[in-house]
This record gives sequence, C-alpha cells and structure tokens, in this order.
Amino acid sequence: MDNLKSILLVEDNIKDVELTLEALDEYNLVNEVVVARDGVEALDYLFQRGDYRSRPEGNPAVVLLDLKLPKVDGLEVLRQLKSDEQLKIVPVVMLTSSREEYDLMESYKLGVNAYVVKPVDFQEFVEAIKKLSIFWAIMNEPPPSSGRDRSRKYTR
Amino acid sequence: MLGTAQDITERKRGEEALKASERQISLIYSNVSDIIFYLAVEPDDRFRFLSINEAFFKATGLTENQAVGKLVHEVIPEPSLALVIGNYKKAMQEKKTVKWEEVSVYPAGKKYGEVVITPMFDARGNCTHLIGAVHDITERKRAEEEIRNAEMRYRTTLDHMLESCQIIGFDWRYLYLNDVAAKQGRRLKEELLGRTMMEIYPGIENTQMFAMIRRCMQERIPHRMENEFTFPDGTKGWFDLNMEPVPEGTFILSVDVTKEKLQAEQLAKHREHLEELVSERTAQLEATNKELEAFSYSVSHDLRAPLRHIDGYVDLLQKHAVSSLGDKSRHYLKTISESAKHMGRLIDDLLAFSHINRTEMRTTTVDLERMVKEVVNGLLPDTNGNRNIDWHIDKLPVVQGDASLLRLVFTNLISNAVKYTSTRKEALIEIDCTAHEHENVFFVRDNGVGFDMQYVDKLFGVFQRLHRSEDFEGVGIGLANVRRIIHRHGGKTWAEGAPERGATFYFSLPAP
Repeated sequence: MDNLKSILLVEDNIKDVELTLEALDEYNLVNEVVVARDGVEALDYLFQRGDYRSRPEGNPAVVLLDLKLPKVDGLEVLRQLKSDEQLKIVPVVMLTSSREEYDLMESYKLGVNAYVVKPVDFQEFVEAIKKLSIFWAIMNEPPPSSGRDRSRKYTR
Repeated sequence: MLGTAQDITERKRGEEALKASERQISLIYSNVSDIIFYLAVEPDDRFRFLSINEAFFKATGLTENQAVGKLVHEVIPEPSLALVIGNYKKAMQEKKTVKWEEVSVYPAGKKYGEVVITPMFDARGNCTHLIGAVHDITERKRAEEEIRNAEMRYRTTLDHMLESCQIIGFDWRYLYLNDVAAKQGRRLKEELLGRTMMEIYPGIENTQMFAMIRRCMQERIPHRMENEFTFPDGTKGWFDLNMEPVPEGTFILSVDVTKEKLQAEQLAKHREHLEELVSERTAQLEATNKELEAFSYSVSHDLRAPLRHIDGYVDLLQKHAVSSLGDKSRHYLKTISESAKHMGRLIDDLLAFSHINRTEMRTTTVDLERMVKEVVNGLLPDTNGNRNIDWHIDKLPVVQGDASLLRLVFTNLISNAVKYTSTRKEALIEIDCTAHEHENVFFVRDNGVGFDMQYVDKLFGVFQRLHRSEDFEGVGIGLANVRRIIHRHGGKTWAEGAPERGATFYFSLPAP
C-alpha cells in the first residue's frame, strides 16, 4: 500500500465530490482518493499539518484542484504547492467551472499541469477525468505489479 | 537876375526831379503785387478811398468804379468791417502803424491779407489820411489750413479709434492719448497728459513693456508684444501692444485682450473639468465592467455547477436503474439530461456574447478573402459531404480589424447560410463586397428558407429565433454577436429576405 500513491481531490461541493469519485470509479482507478473540502485542508494534507500530521509519508500522484474554494482558494493552494521544493513535482490538474481568462493565465503562470473546465455533460466530464487522472496517476506512475486495489478512503 | 535865373533853373531841376520821382513811385505803385491804398479821413469815422493800386482790383475782382471814391464800409464786406474800422481808429489814436490779419470775401473769392495801416497828420496834428498796404497771404493760409485739417482728420481718427492710442515722448511724458487709452489705463486723460509714465505707474520702469518702449525709442524700430499688466489695485489685464517710432517718441497702439484671455482660461478650466468628469465616468464604467465580469464569473461558475449535477445524477440514475425503468421513464431522464445540456449551452453562449464586449480589440491587418476561404473550409466537414453547395466568393479587401472577432462574424453568417439552405437540393451561397467612399459593404447571400421582413428587427437580438429549434438547431445568439462585433468596428448590420426566397445579411466596415 505504501508504494501506491493517492489522488488528492480538493473540492468543496459534495455533489461534485460524489460525481468525481463515480467518474474515477467508472474507470477502475486503483489509487486511494483523499478528499479535501477547502484550501486549508488541502494544504494541511500536502504539508502534513493539523489532522494530517501523522498521515503516511509520500506525495499524492496527482492533485485535482477546484479553483473556487472556501478559506484559501485554489490559486493560493497551487502557489504554495509549486513554491515548495518537495511538492512542486506533484502534477496539478485544475478542475473548475470557470472559463475566465484571468484564472487560466494565472494558473499557467503558477505552473499548473493541466486545466479542465468541467463540462455540463456528465459523460464529457467522465471522459476528461479519465484522460487526466489516468495519465497523471497511472501512466505517469506505473502501477505496482501487485494488482489493483479498489479500497478507497474518504476523509470526512 | 542871375540869381533868379539860377533859382528858376534850380526850381526846374527840382520840379523835374520831383516828376521823375513821382513817375518812379507811380510805376512802383501800379506794378507792386501788394495792395496799396490811400484813404481820406472824414467825420463820423468815415474813410473814403482816394486811390487804390492795380493789385487790389486783381486780388478782389472789384472794378475801379466799385472802390475808388467810395467809403470803406461800401467796399469792405461786413464780417471784417468792424475789425478794419477799429484798427484804423487805433492807428489814428495811437498815431502809429497798426498791423493785422484779416479775411474777406470778394468776387474773386476768400482772401487772407496781412494789413499795415499808417496814419498821416496835418500841421495841426489832425489825422487827415491813412495809407494802407495789404500783403496777400491767401496761399499760405490755405496751406496752413490744409495742414490743420489733415491734422484734425488724423487726430479725430485716433480720438475715435476703438483701440487705445498714445504717444509717449522721449522724456516718457504722455503727449497724446485717446479716450480708449485713458479708459484702458483707468485714468483721466487730464491726469496723464504731460506727466511721465513713471509718475503715474511707479515701478513701470522695471517691466518688460517699459524695456520694449525704450528699445523703440532708441533703436527706432517697431515692436509688438503681448503684455500682462497689473493695475495699482492688483487686478490684471492683458494687452496686445504695437509700438511704432514717431518723431515725438513712441506711438503705442494697444488692444485689450483681457476678455479673450479670461475666456481662454475659462475654457481651459472647463476642459479640465470635463476631463475630470470623463475620468470619473470612466472609473464608474470600469467599476460597472468589473461588476459585470464578477457577474459573468459567478454565472459561469455557480449556474453551470447545478446543471452539471443534474446531468451527472441523471446519468448515474440511468446506469443504476436502467433495468427497472420503463420506456417513458427513460424518455423523461433523457429529456432532463438534454435540457440541462441545452441550458449549459445557453449560459456558455451568453458568456461568450458578453465576452465580445469586454475583451479589448486587437486591431491588425486582416485579409478577409483568405479568412472567408478558411471559414468555408472549416465548415465543410459539418455538411458531411451530403450537401450540394455552390459557393460564389468574390474578391474581398484587406481591412483593419480584430481578426478573431471578424472570423466569428463570417463563421456565424456563413454557417447560418449553410444551415438555412439545408432544405435546398442545390444551395447557392454568395459572399461579396462593394466599395463605397467611406466604407466597404459586405454581404452573405443564400437561397435558403429566408425570413419575413416583418421580423427583421428581431434577427439581431439575443436569443431571438425566427425558426423552430426542431427545424433548425441553435440558440439564437450568432447574429447578436455579429451585430456587436460590427458595432465595435464602427460599422452597421442589416438584412433582407423573404420567406422561402433566401436571405442576404449585410455589414459595413469603415474604409481604412
């Protein structure tokens, strides 16, 4: 289990969380999915602080990061992540409803690895999740030969 | 006898000498150009002409009969008579020669004369005769009068000029001022005349104007300057000064331009105020724009999320309950999903529409002919190769504009033409341009289903559709986008059409 990297999903909307997990599940994604519901919690997980002080070592395989978040927004999470020597290698996929140019430009400036505008069409969303998450979590990080593990952990 | 003879000889000789002398005097008397006359003094201040020389008749135009033997008051005209008689009496009383100038009107005209009269007395000391001489000074007087008239003319002109005129002497005294000059200087003419500028305006010798006048006095060349002058009471005036050297010193012509100056200042103030207003309004507009952006953001983020959820959960429901659902229920779920997607498209289009107005124009040189061909090629795959379209694309100009916005215009118009000719076996789509003096007018014409001109005003509105969406899909924002983009380029949009007889969409772009 230690060598199977988790996926960090940062999303405040419970419905989006459920739909994203369904999408990930549909493609039998093997990794553990950690869900953070706001920017502070996401940073706590990434920097092993607060409730996550004693979490298992290791960076997530990929961070799916919503832009609009309570407390600390997605751009700030991205900024802090990308300015940390240990964390900056973690791929980050921005997942958002926004098409605003400013967000897009700003995210790329901060070094985001991919950017997905969540489509209304659920099938398109599933498709996007598949492409991105599989690429970063699986293709980029060859799964261990031990086989697939369907266990999933919800934090909260 | 000898003595007598001698006496006689001497007397004769004396008589001859006298005769010769008389002849000489007579010659002088009749040929001299001055008038000479001889008057007898009669009682009651009456004077009678005993003799008058030829010069008198020449000068006056009178004849000998009209003057010789007549009384003075019968010959000399009334206006100067009193003067003449008075002077005669003065000469008699004071027993000396009297001189004066007189003017009289004779048949020959108005004559000016310098008169000299000398009284003659008998042994008892009574004045019996007067000898007079008149030197004609008419010519001189006329010349003097002409000079005086000319002077008067110039003076009157200066006096009544609307500009201020003054002459400053070499000693800095005011030699001449017209009324305007006095008014401009806020002084009475009498206060200024004869006094120096320094007396009237202490400290004036340190001004630039004074330096200019001094240069004009010394160098004898004209100067011109605009001068700001501070009056003793502290108020200011602006004057356009022209300085001209004149024999007495410097002539200064000055125009009061204070009003114009103040107006210009006022205008500058107004302009400043206007600029302030504009920047204020711009700030307000920018704030409104920001609000609009925030609104768009929230629309894009907040409205799309619930739609996504509807579609997502419908999808999950379909997957989980597909076996237990009847055809009707599956149809309902399909409709919910389609409606959510449709609303998603509406929101996206609305955002794109507001985006057109908010994005800055990036003006470049755009080859429209190339652009149209690219747009047409881009649309061909959509026709799935089962359409028979006859394209007529004429020569199109190179214009200045935002390439991506103009591409959107052509994409909208041409895809509309493709869409609304889909019912035609042979579709014809024409794209052309006519050049006018100030603008280029473009049009996209098709032989499609057309529209009723009655609804032409609705065509370019947001979400306005003239066809049922079952017949022709779309949300009805394309032409609204076209209109906005063309407006932003300074052009106009309009359309012509008839049901089942095709449509033509026009737009103009200002000529470069």
